Order: sequence, then C-alpha cells, then structure tokens
Amino acid sequence: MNIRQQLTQFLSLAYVFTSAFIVWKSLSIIANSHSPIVVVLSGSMEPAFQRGDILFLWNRNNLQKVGDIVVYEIEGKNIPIVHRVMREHHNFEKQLLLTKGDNNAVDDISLYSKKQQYLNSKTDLVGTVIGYLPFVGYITILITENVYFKYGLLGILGLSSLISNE
Amino acid sequence: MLKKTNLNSVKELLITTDDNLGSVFSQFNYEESFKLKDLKLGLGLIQVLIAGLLFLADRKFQFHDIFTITVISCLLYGGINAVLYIINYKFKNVKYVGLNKSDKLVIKTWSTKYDPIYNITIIKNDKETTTTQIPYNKIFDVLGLFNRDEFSKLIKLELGKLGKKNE
Amino acid sequence: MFNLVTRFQAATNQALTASVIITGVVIALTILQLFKDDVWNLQTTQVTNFKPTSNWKYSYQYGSINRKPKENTKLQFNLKTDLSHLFNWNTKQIFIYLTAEYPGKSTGSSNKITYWDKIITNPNDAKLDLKNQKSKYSVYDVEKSFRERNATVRLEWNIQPHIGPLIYGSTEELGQFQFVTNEKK
Repeated sequence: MNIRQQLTQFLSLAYVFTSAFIVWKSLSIIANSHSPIVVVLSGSMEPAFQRGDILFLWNRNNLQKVGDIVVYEIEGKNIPIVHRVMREHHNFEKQLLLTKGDNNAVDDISLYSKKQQYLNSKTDLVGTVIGYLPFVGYITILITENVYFKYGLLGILGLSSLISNE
Repeated sequence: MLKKTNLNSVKELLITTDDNLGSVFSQFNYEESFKLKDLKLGLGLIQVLIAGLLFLADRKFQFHDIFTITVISCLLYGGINAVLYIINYKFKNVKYVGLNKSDKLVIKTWSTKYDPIYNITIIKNDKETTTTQIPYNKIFDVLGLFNRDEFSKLIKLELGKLGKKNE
Repeated sequence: MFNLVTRFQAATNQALTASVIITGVVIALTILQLFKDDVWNLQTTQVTNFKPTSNWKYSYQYGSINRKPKENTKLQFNLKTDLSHLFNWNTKQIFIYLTAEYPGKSTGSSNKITYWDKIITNPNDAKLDLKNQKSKYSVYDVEKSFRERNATVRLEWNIQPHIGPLIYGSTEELGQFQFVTNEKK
C-alpha cells in the first residue's frame, strides 16, 4: 500500500539474511579463520569424524601441537582437508607440519603440492578443530551433491510461499 | 481494502488493526509523523547496505586482506543493531505518532498471545494518558473483515475522555 | 497458528532452541566428568626399553628429494598403561600417540614426531601392555640426519567426544633415548 510498509517487509526479510551473514563473519573474526565452521566431506578421519559432521575451528594458536586436528587448504585445490598433525618442526620464524588422516595408511605428502613436503602452519591452515557436532552438516552435503534433494527443497520452499499467500 | 484477516491469529488481527490507525486518526485531523518510523527504516537500510557491501568484498578478496574492514563492518552492524534495540525498547509498542496544530498523540498498542483483545494507550502531549481494551470481535466481523467505522467510533470515545480531562 | 508454514516454523524453532540447550548441558556435564575422573593424570603409564634404529632412504615418500639420502628412524618400545578412566558416556574414541621431542639447529627451534599411534573405541581395550612394540611410522627430520640428538618420549592422548570439545593431554616425560646413525651413505 505505501512504500514504508513495503520497506518494512523488505527489511524484516533482509534482516534474516544479513544478521546470519554478520554472525558468520563475526565468528570468522573471533576464530581468525575464513571458515570457522566446516563440514567433513571425506572419511579419512574415521571413526573420529564422518561425512556430514560439523567442526568448529580456531586459528589463533601460534604453534600447532602434534596430535591437533587441523583443516588445511592447498593452493590450487579448493577442498579443505581435515587431518591430524603427525610431526611438527618449528623455529622462531615458522612451523612446518606433516599431517595424516587417522583412517589413511600413509601421510599426506601425496596430497600436498608438487615438491611440497610440509604444510606451513601460518599460511596453509584454515584452523584447528576445537569442537565437534555430529551429523548436522549432512544437509549441506545433500544440497551440494544431490540434485534431486536440491530441487525438491527449492520446490517445497516455493510451494510453501505460494500456499502461505493464501 | 476488502482483505480478510485470519481470525485465529491474534498477531494478524493486531497488525491489521495497527494498519488502520493512520487513516482513522486522519479523520480526527491528525497528521502522522513518520520521524520514528523513518529513523528505524533508515538504520535498517544502512544495515542492509553494510552487510551487502561486506558480502561483495568477501566474494572478491581474501579473508585476511579485508580483515580490518570486516571487523569495522561487523562493529557498525552490531552498533546499529544496539541502537535499534534501544529505540524499540524506549518506544515499545509505539505504532503511531500524530500531530495536529496544537497537540501531539502517541499511540501504543499490543495484544497478549492468547487473549483476542486490542490494548490501546493514547498519550496526548506526553502528559495525559488513556488506556482501553477493545475485544477484536467488536471490530472484526465473522468473515475477518475489519470494521473501520466501529473502530473509529471507539477511538473517538477515547479521545473524548482525554478532552474532558483537559478541561 | 493455523497455517502450515507458521506451525512448521514454530516447531523447528522450538526444536532448535531445545537442542542448543541440551548440547550445552551435555558439554558442561562432560567437562565436569573429565575433571572428576582426573583424566589428565596418567601416572601409571610406563614406556621403557627404547630401541631406536636408523636407515638411509632415497625415495620421495621417505622424505628424500632428488634421490639424496635421508635418514629415517624407527623406535621399538615397551608400553604399559591403563586408559580406561579416560572413557565416559560421551567418548567416541581415544587417540593415543607416542611422541619424541628433540631440539633443532637454531635456538628456539624444536621438533616433535610421532612413532606410533592407536585408536581405541572400546574401554575394554584401554589397558595396554605392549612388549617390543614396533614403530608404526618411519620418521625423517627436516634436516638430512637426526645427528644422534637426544629425544624425550611422551605418551599423548586425544579424547574425541560424541558431541562437544576435543580434549587433549599428555604424560610427563617418560624417558629419553639417543638417535643412532648408521654410517652408510
């Protein structure tokens, strides 16, 4: 009817998204990590972590410890990997890490870039795992990997918005 | 304007009634002052703008390159949120502010969850106050259509009370 | 409250709030339980009879670059420990690992490596008495050789809960050994 009412409606809808986004970014700032919460995608850490589990990360440790479970990204590969630190070598300037998945037979050298023997804990890490929530992240795996689920969900959302308009 | 309201939802009844405050009070020669509403809308829009820009920046740049910008944006967003919270707290339930040549009216309305009653407080010139309760079945018919004439009659009665106190 | 969408929203909201509260309570109780069980105390643990061995390797997965020799070491040991008190109702698995810590070249530098680890998921398997346990991993250093340095051995552990924070701990120093180096290049 009038522009103020429409704006109010728009804002209350937008608030849902902007507040979620800002909360996410605030978490990023607190954890100093570009993704403070990640979903496990592979079974290489089983039985500790299964596909679809949610991990909370912290990226403010100066040094990583052996046994820490870290999430790292290799340049050129966009998939974050969750594995355990097996060896660490550090001096005042930097720290080198070798990682391995609990469920893998060998260490991660073959996952790193060519000629790369270690991870650099300052540049390669997304964060260290500090907390764990089982299974909840499976929905994002379903959305990203299952086309039927994705369109089914979109369909239900669309349908429900039609229904709610009377 | 033949919109049916869901009679089972107290919240929707409240919203429909509130939507009619403007036109009813204009009958009594009050003009709505949008200062408060516009302030809230403006702050809300700024929030959307901040979040939107941050989202774009986030798409384009690495997390560590825009860290300070992210911090500032989040603080600003949170600050505005706090201001909005304070405004909403201070002007709780204020749905309408009206002005005419001599007077200022502030209308507060609310309903509790399970009682189909429209509570309305009218504050004249920040001094005189009158509160009344209008059951929704008085101002809505069985189909859920709003009865504006009945509503303005009841409001007129309330305004009359304020006038008498004034004398 | 009469349309399906609002009803669904209300229900999910309620479920979400409830699960957040339940999760919080579970985490708090778990931490209390860990303190009550005194899990950070592993005084009965003994690791003895260290037998370090060494080998020169020339392939990439053993740390060698361009076929240059790289010293790889292994460690044989006896381990006796009881970790059953680390288990409680919110324990999914315990990951234990035997580490050796030794100094690096420059001051302030340090290294820590894992020779052996084990995942325990059943509290009945938490009593360990291993004799002449072989090293699980063949370990190389960032340097070419371990240069017969001294290393400190610890048994460290990580409790993985069904839900909640990951808990870490370590024994005090359990002993020392010296890397041996085979002169064969």
